[in-house]
Amino acid sequence: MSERIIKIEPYKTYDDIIRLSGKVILPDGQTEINIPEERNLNLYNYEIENGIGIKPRDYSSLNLKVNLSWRQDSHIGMFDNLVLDTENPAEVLALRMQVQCEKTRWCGEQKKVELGVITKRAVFDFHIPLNEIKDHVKIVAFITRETEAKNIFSEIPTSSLAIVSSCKPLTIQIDEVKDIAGDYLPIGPGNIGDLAFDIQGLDDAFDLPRIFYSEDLKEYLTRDDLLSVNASILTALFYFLDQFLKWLIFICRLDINDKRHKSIVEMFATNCSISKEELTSIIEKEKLCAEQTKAYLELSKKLFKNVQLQYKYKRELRNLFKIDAK
Amino acid sequence: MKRYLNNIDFFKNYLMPKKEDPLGWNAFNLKDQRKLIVTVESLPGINIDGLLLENEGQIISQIKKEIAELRATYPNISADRLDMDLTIIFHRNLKRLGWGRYQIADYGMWRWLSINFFLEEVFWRWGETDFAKRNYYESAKASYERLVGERSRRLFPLRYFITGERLHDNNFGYHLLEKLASKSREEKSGGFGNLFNNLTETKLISPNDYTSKTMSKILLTGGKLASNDDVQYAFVRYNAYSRRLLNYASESIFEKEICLFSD
Repeated sequence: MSERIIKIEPYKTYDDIIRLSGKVILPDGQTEINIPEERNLNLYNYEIENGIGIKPRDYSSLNLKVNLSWRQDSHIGMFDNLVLDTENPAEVLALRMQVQCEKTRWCGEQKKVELGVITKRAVFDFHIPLNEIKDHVKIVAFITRETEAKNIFSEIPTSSLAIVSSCKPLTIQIDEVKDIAGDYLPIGPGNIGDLAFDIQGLDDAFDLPRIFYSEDLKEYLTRDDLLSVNASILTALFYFLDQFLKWLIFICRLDINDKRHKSIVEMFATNCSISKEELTSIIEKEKLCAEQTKAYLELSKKLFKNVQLQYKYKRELRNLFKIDAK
Repeated sequence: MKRYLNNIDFFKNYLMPKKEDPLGWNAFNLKDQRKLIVTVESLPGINIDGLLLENEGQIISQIKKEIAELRATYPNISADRLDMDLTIIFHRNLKRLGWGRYQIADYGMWRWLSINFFLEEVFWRWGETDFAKRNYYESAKASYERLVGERSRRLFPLRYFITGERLHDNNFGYHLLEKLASKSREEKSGGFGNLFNNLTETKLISPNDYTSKTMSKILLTGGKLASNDDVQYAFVRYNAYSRRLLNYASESIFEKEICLFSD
């Protein structure tokens, strides 16, 4: 027996109908930091108004206030299609919300909210003990069916606690981001003269190259809430990734026991739609041979498109343009 | 507490017993804690950071003393049946240092703690059976894997601390763990091994670890004792229901749909 033979009936879901927003309250009770619209707040080194960078680990806990609102043009009637004809969504469905840390698997108390009370004014408080979490916490919310129904032929979920709608989570980064793990390239501030960005270490066959941005720009580039920063990173990312891909293929002497090498192979395998084994075999070919160069050109083309899709370039740029055009 | 700054690959390269090198097995099979420490500290490039505080040293001594008492109390029960007791010992003592889940991810610290203090206990729990059968390479490898943490979350002390975090309850203390410990020492072995593996590896996320507690309670403290397969399939089933938010589901849902018994 395996999970593959467990039958899970498909049913309709409508995701992202309820929007979460919120703010972090520091223990002094005075400082409030709004979670940006992109739903990610990097609290590590976050600069508050007086220019002081926050070190979340200086505190033992944080408080959080979360608001819920219906997405524009959405309303409770949209859930009529997800319950039986005889049922009222306000009675059958509820929103469940909790704060959790995937790294330590800590999870705070769950709040159950009736759909009828979801208004912008309703505020939900959460307490986050920092000794229970590591790296980041997520505030997740789901709309669930609360009672069981006997109607096995419909596309409507009938089991209790079936998720009929997932909300996009809010994420709060607490600890310093690792140099490279999954999505992150090694990047940090440096004294690079008149340059805005530089990549150093591209000739080193073992250590990963490192992206530097000018110290003078640090106060802006460490912020997650600036549109110009988003635009700059989006534009520069193509070049950064392509340089790292060239380094990986033409320079790197791959060490399969090195976690950083493994991480970067995994990242490019995903972004270039190629298996890790295939990518490894390309890297291990004779450096700069015709076959390897041809493979790089192909991967570079794929990277250009896949990065746009993965990081949702079109949507991000449209949002930036819209805001700028106002 | 001290910690190694070297990652697992370093230990894999320098310390892992190799089949073709019987001398390397001695570091684990001789049960000489001092010798193991000297071996590790003389590895080229070993990097240790931090300090062992007085109260930390006292807690470690207390843990070792309680494990020795446990072994003396149950001399005829095999070590794997005492895992729940070990969980209580490690968790109760380490909590006195104010440790929480933040410390779980500090593998360098757990590795230092494990290698520097628990060779004898690890050998007793993981290496002794193979050693008695004269499978010396296997016994050294088993001890290495748990001392050094070939899979980080299975590091000897960490494994018990994680399970303690999941099954200890602020209101009921160690009640569930004590019940599990008592069942585990009984004649039938049951699925305690797979319960441990899943509690350390599976991403169960629920308030106050409700899911971990509920599944453990239903599977291993009731009238029927789940087998290793029953426990494994229960976790498979739980993961398969990803379209339901089961982390506060009633016990009856777990009983009817997740924690099923094969007979």
